[in-house]
Amino acid sequence: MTIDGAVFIVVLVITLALFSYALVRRIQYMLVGVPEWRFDQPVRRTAGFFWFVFGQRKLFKEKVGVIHFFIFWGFIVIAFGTLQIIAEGIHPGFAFPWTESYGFMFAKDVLSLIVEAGLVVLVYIRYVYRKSRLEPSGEAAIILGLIFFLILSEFFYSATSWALDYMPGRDGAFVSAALGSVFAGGSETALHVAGHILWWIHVVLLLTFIVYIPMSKHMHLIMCPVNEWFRNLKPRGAQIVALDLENEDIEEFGVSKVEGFTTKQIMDVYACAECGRCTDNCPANLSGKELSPKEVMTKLKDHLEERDRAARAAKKAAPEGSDAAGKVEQKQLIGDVFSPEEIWACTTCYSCQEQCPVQNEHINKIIDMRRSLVLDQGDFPAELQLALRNIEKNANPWGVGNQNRANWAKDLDVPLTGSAEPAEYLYWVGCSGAYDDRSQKVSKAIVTLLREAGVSFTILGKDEKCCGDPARRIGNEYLFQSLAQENVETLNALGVKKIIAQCPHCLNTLKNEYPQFGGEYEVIHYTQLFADLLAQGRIKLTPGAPVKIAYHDSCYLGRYQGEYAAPRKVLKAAGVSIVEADKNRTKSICCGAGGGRMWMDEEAEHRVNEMRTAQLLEKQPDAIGVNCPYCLTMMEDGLGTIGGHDTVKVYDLAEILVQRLASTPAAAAEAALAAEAAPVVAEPVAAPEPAEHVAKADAEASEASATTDIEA
Amino acid sequence: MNIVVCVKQVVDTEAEKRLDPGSWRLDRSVDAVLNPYDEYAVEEALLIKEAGEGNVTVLCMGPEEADDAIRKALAMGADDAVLVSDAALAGSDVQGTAYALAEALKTMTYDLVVFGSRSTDGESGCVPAAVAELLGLPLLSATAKLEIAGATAKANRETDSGYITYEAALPAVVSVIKGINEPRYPTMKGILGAKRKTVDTKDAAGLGLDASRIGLAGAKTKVTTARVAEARKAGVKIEDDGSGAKKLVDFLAGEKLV
Repeated sequence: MTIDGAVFIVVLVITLALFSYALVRRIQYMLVGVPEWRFDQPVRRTAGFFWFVFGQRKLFKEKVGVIHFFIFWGFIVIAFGTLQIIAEGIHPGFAFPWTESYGFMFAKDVLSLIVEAGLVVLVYIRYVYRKSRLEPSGEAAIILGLIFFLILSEFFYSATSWALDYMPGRDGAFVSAALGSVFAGGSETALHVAGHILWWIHVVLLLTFIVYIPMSKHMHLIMCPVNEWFRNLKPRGAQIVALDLENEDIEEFGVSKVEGFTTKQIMDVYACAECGRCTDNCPANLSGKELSPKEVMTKLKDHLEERDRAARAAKKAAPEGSDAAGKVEQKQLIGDVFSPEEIWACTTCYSCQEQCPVQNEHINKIIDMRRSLVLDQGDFPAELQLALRNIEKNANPWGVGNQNRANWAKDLDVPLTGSAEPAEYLYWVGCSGAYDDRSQKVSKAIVTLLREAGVSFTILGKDEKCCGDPARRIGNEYLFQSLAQENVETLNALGVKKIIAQCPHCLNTLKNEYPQFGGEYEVIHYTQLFADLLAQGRIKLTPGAPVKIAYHDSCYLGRYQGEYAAPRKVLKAAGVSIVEADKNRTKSICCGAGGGRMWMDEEAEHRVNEMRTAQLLEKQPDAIGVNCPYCLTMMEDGLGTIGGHDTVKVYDLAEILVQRLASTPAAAAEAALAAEAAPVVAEPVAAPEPAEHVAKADAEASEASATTDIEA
Repeated sequence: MNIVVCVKQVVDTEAEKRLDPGSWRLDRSVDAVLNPYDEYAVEEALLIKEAGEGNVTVLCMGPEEADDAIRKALAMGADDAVLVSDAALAGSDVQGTAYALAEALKTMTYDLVVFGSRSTDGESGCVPAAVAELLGLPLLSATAKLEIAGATAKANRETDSGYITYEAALPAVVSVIKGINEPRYPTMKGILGAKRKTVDTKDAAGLGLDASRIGLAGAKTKVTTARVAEARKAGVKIEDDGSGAKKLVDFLAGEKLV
């Protein structure tokens, strides 16, 4: 062994000790949480692990993700080259078998070049172009610099080896070879010294990088793969964890201290690479509110370090053997680390988690803190108290008398479940469809269409209660569970099997959350049913005016159920042309009403609905198409405040269908009018949509679904 | 400071109310809730307790089902509860109710008795006054702001033209109006704690009530009839076709409003 080798080993041991210390400390931080280790479905977990880690599948949602893909694979290949460099420094002449392979050496240099080029692009994006989601931080600069010079030093070191003819048969490393041939005529001593220095530069950079990993956002190199394996495998709509409210030993409901989070919830913090994709797509953040999902992770990470430092300092300051140690006044999670404004800004739209490349779960952390505010501290916005009291007393957030729930259907003679012949479907109207004037029109349209198609259905009337979606997302698990239990009891007693939901929020709760309470039903959204009925020819339409509809994907039908196709099929069948917002499907922006936000005040300058409405208006549509009563309200309000309601209307998809129903005189008249006005453009019903943007959007959708299919 | 809050269970404001055509008594089996005005009374008592020391007891007269309303008050943070319940009390009018409550209060220790200004079903608003009279205590009614200083209660009463400040020595009866505070939302701890508490139930015999002063038979007033208010008629809609202003003026003049 050379002297260099001996020194190197000493330095390596110190490096590994520092690395382990930093890593173990962070693992200890993680372990302050309530134990949660997900070991179920190991095969699926492992398959996903390869798909997401080695396949880098979630990174391809953005084009720039391809750079990460090459850096990731470049790292793995280059590591083998680095092993060789270290080995030959310790034991000159030693060669690993892979260094004899022309292919490997060639691949290594190709990847090295791609990584270097990629790094230049990344530096440009972060520091020159200043992409909004990325911080031009020193930490990122250190990491980018370390990687860049690590590769550069390898190239030059290998070049000296090549020039000194130490690299027989390694011509595959074409970059080093090319550089080496330039140096080949130089003095042997100079080359030798230069090689020596370059070797040390390379090694020091490498060791610095290793120590820096656990101390920086590059902890994700270690924790992201672990996090991928432990990812949430439940359906997206079933990921909120039920609290055990019967257990009288529980002293605290919700999470007010970081120790209240689970180990997995804290693990997220270390998997986070601070890429900012979450914040970049967060409706609360985009509308100028305080919440940033990325900061949910980074603030927690900083808090963990801070409380550990404070505890250590207190221990040091306390006299020997006293109890005072460990009893240090720590920052409050709610108030000190996170402001109530941040906690209440979330619409639970799931975009942060959809975009997150490392499968972090932001929403449950926010709901856990809301639970603490609502269930434990009784400290939350007055408007929400009103909505919750209304739900408690009259089973709907508006607080209209429960006995009036079926008033909207008074003239329609819709049979009530139980008092009529058993029907195939239960039509779950939801609070909006039952009480909101505007949504009642949608409910009526759905009844017309169901009758047109000859679908047998009943409604629950006053036996239907709020599904509990807002209560649960506001953090009132107690109210949610009592509603869920009552509804499940009603549905089970009536032997309900199949449910058509009008509201995507009801859909999600009935389908994904009621199984936790013994309610197992086949629940579909009405757009899904109508897409089928239209395909079967059970609903016949007449072409209407060739209107341009800007279709808005709701979060709870889109991201939560992955249903992007059915509503578009419905629109196509209606013969309208669909214009897509720039942010559509998985990247659609929430209307602003989810997560209980429907019932909260929103400052005039930070309204999500105005932002989203403006995005849709950019496409100059004749109307906006929605599939959710919340979106309907929010888009109409948006048009009301930013202007445009004189020329642009908001329609629910069911209304668009009814307008074109062949059997209604209104549709026939409209069709005649349309044919007269624009005989050329009027398209035959269900004709293939010729518009280019639709086809393109569909291609995007299939690509998007490819990345999520494995989780479906 | 011992505070007793008198509460009532009522049928929810939004619920469809049904009266028994024989006795004109309200069917209390549907959508029963804690009288919303009493929530302010409970909150006010809790605020006074939290500002110093003391105990808040809820006193309710009603059927056994009134337990739900009592639990709500307990969940908000009241310490104890007494339910006066007896079939013989059913149908009591203002004086019968006040008599029963006053007799119950005589068995309890208190410095302050707090009421909501009225119930949303009976709407008489007289029970606090009647109770004060029966106990020979000062009454601070329609209180919009309450301060307790030592053995004195100071109350602001809101009138159409301003505030009047009153003072009374404790023990006293106070009735509070909507808006005096923001009633708290019960926490989980409160709800679970309320479930575990026992409600002290007393019947007419236990309180030694005079049967001739309570119930439908003992009522000094009699309901002769009750009917549902007519639904409001749809308003007149004036479309502006250029003559809108004239039509508006004509309408207002026709109604003798201008």
